[in-house]
Amino acid sequence: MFLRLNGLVWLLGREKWSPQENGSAFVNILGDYRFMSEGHYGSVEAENAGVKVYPTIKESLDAYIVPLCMERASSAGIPVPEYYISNDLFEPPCIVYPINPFMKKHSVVYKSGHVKRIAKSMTRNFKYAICVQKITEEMAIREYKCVMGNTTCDEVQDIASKVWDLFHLPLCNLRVIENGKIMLSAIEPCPLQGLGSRELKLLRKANEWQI
Amino acid sequence: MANIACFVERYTVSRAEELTALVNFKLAAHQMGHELEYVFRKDLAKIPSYDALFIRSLTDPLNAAYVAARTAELHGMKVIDDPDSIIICCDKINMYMHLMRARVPIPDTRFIGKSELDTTAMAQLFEELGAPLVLKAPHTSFSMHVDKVESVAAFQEVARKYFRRADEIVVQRFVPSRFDWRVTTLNGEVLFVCRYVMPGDSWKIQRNDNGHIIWAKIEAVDPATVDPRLLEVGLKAANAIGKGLYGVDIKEVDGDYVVIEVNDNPNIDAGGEDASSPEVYGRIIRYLAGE
Repeated sequence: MFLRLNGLVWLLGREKWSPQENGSAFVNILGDYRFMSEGHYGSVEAENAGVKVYPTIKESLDAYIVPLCMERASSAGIPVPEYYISNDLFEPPCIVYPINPFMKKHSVVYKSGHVKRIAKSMTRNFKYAICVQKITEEMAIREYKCVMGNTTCDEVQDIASKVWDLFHLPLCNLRVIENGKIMLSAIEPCPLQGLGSRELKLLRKANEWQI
Repeated sequence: MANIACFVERYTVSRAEELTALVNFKLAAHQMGHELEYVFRKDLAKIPSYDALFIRSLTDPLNAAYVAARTAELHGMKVIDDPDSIIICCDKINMYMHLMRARVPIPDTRFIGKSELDTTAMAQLFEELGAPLVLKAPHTSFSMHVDKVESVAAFQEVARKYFRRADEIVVQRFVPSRFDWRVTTLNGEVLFVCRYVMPGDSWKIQRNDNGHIIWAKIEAVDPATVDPRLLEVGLKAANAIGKGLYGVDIKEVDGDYVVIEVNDNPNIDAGGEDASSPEVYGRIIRYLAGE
């Protein structure tokens, strides 16, 4: 299903495209573009029909796969923490992201006593890779919802608009690390139905801006 | 001289034939005046220092092989398997959409979403495509996550399992055969051809005998001796995906050829797929070196 509002088409599900849709720009606002999800197939259908869609499949993978996100973000001038890829034990404190098809959740590890259990679990017995971001105990980890490059928090607005320019995810959750300076830690799904009234206002504003 | 990185993950290389093939790639590079170095996960950050990347590891957009491929692409390197090929081939829905758009012959195929699945829809699919039906999870590889179902109840059970990781699955008309043709292509040219003969009475290229996996027998065939229409269909399917390295699985049905799937990162076992085309190693190195 999609809605056509003020010249932009808001994609709300998988659509059977017809030739007359060619030339339009489609904004996939399902918010969860993870590989093989409904949101992913919304973009797959559009790409296969040859229509311009936000985000493309490749953009959503670049955004969600943490080491790729870090590489692209730092090249675009977005501050990111120091990180490395491993499938072994790591030094806390850190944030650990899985790089495998089976796990979605990250872990924040402060105590060395937890390292072995978490490393074993997140690598599935040291088989798969993880991305480890170094943090300090003083750092705060916060999340912000983003709607087409806009957010309700002024402090992360610069990062939010750069993330939109880079990855074109209409809806996303930004996880940031704050310690005086704000750094991007990860970009994660933000399903449409999870938006609050303030974010819905941002969505309406984004649509007006696009006219 | 080109400096080529070969990304390998230890857990995906276990057989002597795979290891020998990896050595053959290194030897071929050396004989042609190039260097090929094996790189592992811990070396991912070093990838941009090479001229090209060759992935010999299980590909999935959500694992480290994709990170390697995309990193190489972002640094302007030549890469096999390129990220676009991984994205398309590792999602059978996307892969079949590409084949349909290019009018490549495939078995009758439908896609069904999690929310669309009910007993009426399943009964309708049996009516349209006949029984049994083949169900595939989008991330199927090596015949895993592919099942044959004869009834609505079995359909429901298998679909429920596949929907755990994907929001859509593939439903296909069953096409029986004793073997699959495998046409392997690179950059729009045929590299080699072989037949995968199903083990015993299995309908898939692998059979599970009480936990022991028996694989299809590989029969290498000289491409010059096969029906040119087979090669045409293989190339058409490969070109529908891109210009990378692909293994196209094809069934022969009453003298016609239907494409079952296009795989990125196709198998190349020493003494198996390469038996009639030993030059395959050199051809791949030449492509990576940009010759």
